[in-house]
Amino acid sequence: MTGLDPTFWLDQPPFAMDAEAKAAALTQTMNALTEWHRQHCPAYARILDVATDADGPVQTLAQVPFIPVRLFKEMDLRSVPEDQVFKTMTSSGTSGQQVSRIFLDRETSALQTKILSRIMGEVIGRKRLPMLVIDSPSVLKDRNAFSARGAGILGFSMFGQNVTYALDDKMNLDLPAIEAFLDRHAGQPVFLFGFTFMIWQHFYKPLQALGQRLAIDQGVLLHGGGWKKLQDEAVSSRDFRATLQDCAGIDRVVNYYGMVEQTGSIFLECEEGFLHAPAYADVIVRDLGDFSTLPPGETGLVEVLSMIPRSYPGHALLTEDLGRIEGLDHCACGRRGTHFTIAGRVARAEVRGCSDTYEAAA
Amino acid sequence: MKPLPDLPLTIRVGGPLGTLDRRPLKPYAEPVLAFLAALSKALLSQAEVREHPDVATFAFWCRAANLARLSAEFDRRHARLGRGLVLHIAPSNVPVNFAYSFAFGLLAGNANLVRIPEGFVQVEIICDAIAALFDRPEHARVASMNRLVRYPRDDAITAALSAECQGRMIWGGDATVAHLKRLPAHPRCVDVAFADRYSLCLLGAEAVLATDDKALAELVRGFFNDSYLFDQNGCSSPHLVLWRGSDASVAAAQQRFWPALERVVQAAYPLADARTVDKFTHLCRTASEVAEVRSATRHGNLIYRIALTALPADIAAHRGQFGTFFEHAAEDLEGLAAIVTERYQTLTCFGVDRQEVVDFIVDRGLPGIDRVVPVGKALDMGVVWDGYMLVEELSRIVHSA
Amino acid sequence: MSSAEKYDAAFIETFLLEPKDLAALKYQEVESWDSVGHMALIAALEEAFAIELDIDDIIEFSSYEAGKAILSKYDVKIEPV
Repeated sequence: MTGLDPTFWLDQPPFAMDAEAKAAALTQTMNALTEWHRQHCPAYARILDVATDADGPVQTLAQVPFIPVRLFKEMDLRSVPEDQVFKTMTSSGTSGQQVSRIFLDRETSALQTKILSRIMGEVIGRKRLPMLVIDSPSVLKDRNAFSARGAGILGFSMFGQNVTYALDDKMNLDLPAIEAFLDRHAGQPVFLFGFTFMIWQHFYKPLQALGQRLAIDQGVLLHGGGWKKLQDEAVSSRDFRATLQDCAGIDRVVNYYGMVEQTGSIFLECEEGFLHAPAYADVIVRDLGDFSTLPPGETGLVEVLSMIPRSYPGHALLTEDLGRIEGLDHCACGRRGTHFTIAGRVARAEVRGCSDTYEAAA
Repeated sequence: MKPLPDLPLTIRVGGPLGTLDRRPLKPYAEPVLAFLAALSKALLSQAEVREHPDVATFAFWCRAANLARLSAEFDRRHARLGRGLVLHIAPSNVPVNFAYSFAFGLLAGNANLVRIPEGFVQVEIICDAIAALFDRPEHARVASMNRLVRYPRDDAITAALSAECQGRMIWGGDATVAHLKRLPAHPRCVDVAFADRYSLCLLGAEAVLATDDKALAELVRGFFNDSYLFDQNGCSSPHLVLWRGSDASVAAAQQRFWPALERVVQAAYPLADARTVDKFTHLCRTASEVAEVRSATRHGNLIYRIALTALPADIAAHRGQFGTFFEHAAEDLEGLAAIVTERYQTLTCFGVDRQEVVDFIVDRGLPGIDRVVPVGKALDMGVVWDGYMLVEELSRIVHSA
Repeated sequence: MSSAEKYDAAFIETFLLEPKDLAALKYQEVESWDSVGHMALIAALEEAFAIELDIDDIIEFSSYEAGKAILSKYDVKIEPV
């Protein structure tokens, strides 16, 4: 039986469970989480009662009641007493936009770290590696209000040692710091981490402008945070990998998909260019018209499932990303589990109506 | 009268600002009727207009026969003249509204400056038609009095224009109205302000049950037009559906009404974008925030129906989105008296005696509801709107005793 | 032009039809006579005969034949040509 107790999951290697066994076990855990949150988060209980079809335990992952990830931007949803919240994470957002507020207790936070370490084993091995963060240390200045960027850097810093920042406080490339880091760890594997657009804008572009080429031959670069800005510049995942290989000599460039609302259970991109659900998480693609599930190959709204969230009802979340299941278990890379691709954000249509005239004018 | 100052506006239709003729006409003046009738004809004869029912509806409204009817109904006990120059701040997200606003100003006998929205083909169609008519000698008087303009949000320009205006038509809800009213205007300036409004629908259960297929199709098409054409965001689009009848007949009528509406929405309202997510998010939030919510019925993502255990007094604070309707059943109109505030604008009705409803509003002195119209007519603009008689508001009386 | 000629001309010019198609013509049965076309037709008829149709008559105006009866209420007699 897999219920709320995470032991079973912590014993699973991330990409070895076959789809059927995983679905059965994860459904049980999802049922337990749904019930937990129903009992501990009154607002969630109301949503379950009114807005979802859920009525007790379900048989399949697709039947697990889900809520929109956007809800965390509009409401405070918590399944533990306020005094047990020891960290509140917020999503990144430009000024004026609402941000998600995710309440973590120690248990959920610890579970995030444990699960992430299982997945990170696939990227860097069992040992912590010297780490170069391709960002500015100023992102971490305000510890009380972690932005998604800060939380991501901190979360992944756990897997590095001798953590060094490649950018200065003003987001300029700090070449002396990078060179000193590379000298110190010459001939050793190193771990690089950053956000996709930041790497492109503040690492690759300055290097290119300087005509400089780095030789981080034993580097593994993990990056995430979305492709929207790079899609605008027509940079694909493949271009990105080739460019980083070219400008910094990095052989292994791994993209991940994840969100602050489900920190820990990230989805890694494989050599074939597909994102993989680890044992602890899964992905469902839904039709925009009625939220019915779509078969592999069809593009729809991405729902993400994770066994981690306990202090907030975020175990089954409907995102605003469009994606497509590419297959179950049989990826050529050898990893098991649902693999998928993300096609970008769902289009935001102009809303019609008779309010907001003078203010909205360009 | 001295000419208007030169301002950094983009003139879409009409000559330079400095040449604007601000001498007023009397309401329903011959040159204005001839111009609007010609505009109606020009638009209705364009094949392109077929794709834009909102443009066609405007053109149909300003056809000669309808203007003649409006003119005949106009109260001429007093001599009247246009107030002078009217500034129209039109909604930026409803394409055709500017044209009605302009026409009301014209019919009242005014010179008009209309700030028009960007980015709609409908706006360009109407502007092109107006521009072509302005070039014709028979419309020279009307052309000399009117300018359709664009300018970015700029308080300096709006203030400079306001200082010259004897009337302002301010569309765009509470925020815009509050903002523009803070700008100093001409001391004689009359503001006709269109604030945020809330609208609802009253359906007689027995009448819905008695519809044949054709009448039902017309009813749900009308309801669809009222609600979905502006993403349920028009000030007269309903958010609450009140059913009148016994519990049993209401339940049966709902079984007849909503599936029929669903078929129309399915065919005419593609929802394959972020609105779906917004709609579902809104439903979840409403479920947790409104204690009176009993249950929700989802017709796919096309229609969300939210059943209430009782009508919360602040129901108007909970608007639907993209086809989300609160529902409540009652045997009589008493429930209305408990909820209606000055924010309430349009009550669309089916299977209910509208005169009875109007009498109820007046007898009980309800602070809101300005329009009681059949389902399907919620968005029909006219010279009586939002509780104003617009031609009267925008003209002045020359009294003799 | 006789009334019948004016009546036919309104249909022909609004919907771009041949005279032979008129007799059996019904609302919504040809593409051009949709709700938008209906408004154009009513405006054309009102102008041709200098009349103002009531809303109910505009709604009931459901075919070429039915229209003749409606116009007779406005003292417009559509006799065969």
